[in-house]
Amino acid sequence: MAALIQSKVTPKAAVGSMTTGHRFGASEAQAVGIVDAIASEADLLGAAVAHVEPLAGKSSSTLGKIKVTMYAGVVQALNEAGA
Amino acid sequence: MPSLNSDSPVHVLHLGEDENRFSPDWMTAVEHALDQVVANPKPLIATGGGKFFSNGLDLDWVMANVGELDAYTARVQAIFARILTLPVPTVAALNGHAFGAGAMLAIAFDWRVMREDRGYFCFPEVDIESPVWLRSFRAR
Repeated sequence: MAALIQSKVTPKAAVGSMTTGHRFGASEAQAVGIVDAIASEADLLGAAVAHVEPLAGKSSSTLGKIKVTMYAGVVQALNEAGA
Repeated sequence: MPSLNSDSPVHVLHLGEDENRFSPDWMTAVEHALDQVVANPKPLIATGGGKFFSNGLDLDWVMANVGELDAYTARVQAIFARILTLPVPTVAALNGHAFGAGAMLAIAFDWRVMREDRGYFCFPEVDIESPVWLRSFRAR
């Protein structure tokens, strides 16, 4: 689980979130990079769509292979933990 | 329970209207939704319907089924791994609280958009001596 978090956030954000139990509001979460954008309630879904709809044409099989490669270590950690 | 809406150019996975905790049935619904996304590849957005994106593990179920702890955590982690490597662009729209495993779920997505005025993102594990997390964190 730690590997998952550490693969996505900066070391500083990892320390600031994993070791503290701190509750991040949206602005603070964005400031440390835990979230990529913030939006009003009304705009939330639209902002999410705007993030990914332009990417809809990407090759799914290639994207899958890229992600599997990017996260190989994390996936291994997730599959091993608890076993 | 989670449901998938695939009517638009993107899939929208609704995680539920309550705390959206990782109960066995909740996970079954999420797993089926991920199967559908892979079968019909287009971008995936996940969001919750109320105060919570997800409040994390179903600790009531875990405490009542301690003998199945290993299988349960393996299943949770398999969902994280699947979302992490899903062959489509993914984004978590944080409508509300993302706590613990709910926060990890959000982290597994490519991107996160968070509601600006409500809800917290938090890994509370350091404040609770949950046997589930002690076991999982020990491994990695």
